[in-house]
Amino acid sequence: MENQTFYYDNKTVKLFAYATLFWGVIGMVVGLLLALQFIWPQLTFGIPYTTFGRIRPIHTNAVIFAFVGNGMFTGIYYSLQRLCKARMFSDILSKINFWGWQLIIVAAALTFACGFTTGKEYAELEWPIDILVAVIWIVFGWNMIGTIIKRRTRHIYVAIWFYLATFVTVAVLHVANSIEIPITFFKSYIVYAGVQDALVQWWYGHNAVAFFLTTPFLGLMYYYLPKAANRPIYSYRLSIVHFWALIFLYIWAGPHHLIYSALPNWTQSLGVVFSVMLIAPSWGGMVNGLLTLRGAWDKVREDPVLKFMVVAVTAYGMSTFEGPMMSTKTVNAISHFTDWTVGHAHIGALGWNGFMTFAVLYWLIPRIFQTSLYSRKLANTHFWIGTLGIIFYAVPLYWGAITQFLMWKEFTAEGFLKYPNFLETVTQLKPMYAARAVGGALYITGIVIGIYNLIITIRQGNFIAEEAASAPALEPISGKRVSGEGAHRWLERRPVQFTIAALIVILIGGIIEIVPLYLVKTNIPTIASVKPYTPLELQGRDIYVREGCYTCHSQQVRPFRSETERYGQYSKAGEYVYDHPFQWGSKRNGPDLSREGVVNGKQYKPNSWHYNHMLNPQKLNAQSIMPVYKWLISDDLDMSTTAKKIRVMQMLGVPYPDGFDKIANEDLMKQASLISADLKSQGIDCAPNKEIIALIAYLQRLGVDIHSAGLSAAAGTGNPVN
Amino acid sequence: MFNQVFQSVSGINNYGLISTIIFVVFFTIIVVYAFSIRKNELAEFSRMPFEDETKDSNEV
Ligand code: HEC
Repeated sequence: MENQTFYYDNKTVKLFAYATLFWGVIGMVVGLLLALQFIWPQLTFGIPYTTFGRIRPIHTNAVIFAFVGNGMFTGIYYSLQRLCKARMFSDILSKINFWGWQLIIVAAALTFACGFTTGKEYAELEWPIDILVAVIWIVFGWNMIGTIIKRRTRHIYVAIWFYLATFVTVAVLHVANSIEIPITFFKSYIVYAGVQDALVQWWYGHNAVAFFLTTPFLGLMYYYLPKAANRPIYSYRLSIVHFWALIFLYIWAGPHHLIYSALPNWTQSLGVVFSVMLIAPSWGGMVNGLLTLRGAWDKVREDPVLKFMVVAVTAYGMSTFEGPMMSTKTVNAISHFTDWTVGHAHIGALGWNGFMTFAVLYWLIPRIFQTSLYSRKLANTHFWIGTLGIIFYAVPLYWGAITQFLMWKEFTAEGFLKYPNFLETVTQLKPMYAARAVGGALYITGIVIGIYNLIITIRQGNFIAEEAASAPALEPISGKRVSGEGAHRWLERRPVQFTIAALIVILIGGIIEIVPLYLVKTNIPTIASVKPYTPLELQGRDIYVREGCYTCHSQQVRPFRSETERYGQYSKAGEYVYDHPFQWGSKRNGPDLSREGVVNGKQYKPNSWHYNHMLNPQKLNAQSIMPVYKWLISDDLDMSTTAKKIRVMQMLGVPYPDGFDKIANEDLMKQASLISADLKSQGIDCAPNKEIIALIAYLQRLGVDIHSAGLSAAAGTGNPVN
Repeated sequence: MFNQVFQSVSGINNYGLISTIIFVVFFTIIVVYAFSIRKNELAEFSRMPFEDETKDSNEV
């Protein structure tokens, strides 16, 4: 076939690279602010837009979807064209992909600051933006698959397999976890309730880690590591096994986020077993990466790109060893709800994703600008400061996690909790939080140095927007299997069929774990005393969701004596059947709240206490790190949504009586007036239509139903009912 | 170890077993396939990231 000349699109690559650096700094600076708020809670500034619960999703989403997302697109747009020997399928789709993604990020930041959130971790975006994400994601996939179809190579290189699996799985996860019924333009209820929502959410959450933070970056590793080391990947055979085993196993592991929770035991155990098995393919990948450097370690000493890669791959190995460990029940009992999880996540994010992204940028930017890196020395400085930053970030958090866990668990000789005041276990960690903030600041300093280095590199370079290349066209062969061609070999040249095969593989785990939870009734035993929320409580709950209280508080008491002593009965699946969304949380920077309303319970507080606490937590506990929420006291509750909320809840199967929506606000005011009157009797003047009243009503409801069921609170450390 | 995890749980008999069998079968097929690929083909595939360099891709 004759040689064809074509041009690689470097412009899109450049745009994505700039966006990566820009959002990286923003996302991490917000992270640093959050870290500092743990030391000086005044840094929430007493206003809603910068309060912890609202900016924590800005941080997580910005780092995951803006920094890592743009970094992934940078790496994919560059490598895909070269591996396919073809320009991107469509310039227009590339543009839509780029600008659409940036629009999503801006919309996310603004809506989170305003408190528009679904309250589901790493999936907080409200429904209109969810739809936009789905559209832009499909544009990306379409552009990618289009490029692969018009490629000039026969075989599809293994990096691209990872890209395809990324595309299809993220699409499935995002859609399945975002099925919401809109109430207003910025408020919706997720269709799943309680335990089911928890399972779908963590199936999503865990696989966002797997298929947004891991598989695309493994793809990048399989392209850029050989390029930087100038030698082919150690074992292509291993990469094939790595790919299929990894995507098969990963999808099952979600329930390891819900160990000792009210999730049925069989699902928890499946999650544990598959998580442990996951070590094998993960380490297969790591070994494949590191062994590629066999005989090239002298280069690593010289080349900052390889240095970043080696630490990235090592961090991948560390976190994929640590993750399965944390999935075992023994370790999970310690690590869950503590900052261990946060430390673990940051080894992955800062080490694996961050360093791999910088490696790719340091490698690729000089190339598209036809120059060499301005300063190797500065890149090395970035590397060392960054590495130090990771260590300073993670080690104090591990230390803190173990400290806090031990304090939670410690009993006196008389059999009482040694630290019954939760806050003591937080105050103890403040030095660790300070060290963590130093680690974060170091890491950001490294990035700033990196950006400076890259800016000078770009200035001295000469950008090639259209990079000429030539290759012979691919000789057409039958779409069917040709003789002697195995099924897999055929797949390796058929992108659409390959994507479908990957889809089937990832669906197996999801279906086996999730579907039975809907079909098998006994999985979620109902509890007769558990009733739907009153309209006021429902509104209060939505304020709880809006303010992101779940970013510090759990609503899930595990079946340990140390927890039942501290909080009350352990949690049962049947308690949550009306919770859209579930609010179990994943860390405890404040105490669990699921037994907060039980009168005479371990945590019960009068209405006036809650009022004063929300107004100024530090006034009640000088050491408290909880933000002030004074706007809840001045702002009126938006009652225009009550009726609609009740109707949507009815649609989702919550048994409010027919026509209840019409009298819902009347009911709401009745209950609100009682609370207002009670506050008045304590000398607090607060009109019944204020937001704080609804929130107090919700807090006072927590745990009440299960308590009235008369189940024994002294159930001890046994497993949950199911 | 898996045995222990499995046994300590009620109701898992079918799900755990089926899931593991599916994985083992799947894994075996992939390994068998990976080892059936000829060496020269593997070498050719793994050199793919370098192919663009042999062309005139650095021309402006
Ligand atoms: C930055 C983390 C953080 C956030 C966000 C946060 N809290 Fe807290 N919360 C704490 C800490 C720490 C304590 C324990 C010290 C104290 O009582 O202030 C606490 C205590 C509480 C208590 C008392 C619990 C008990 O039984 O002692 C309640 C109730 C509470 N928070 C409700 C909320 C609500 C409602 C929100 C959201 C509007 C919220 N918190 C947001 C950290 C947080």
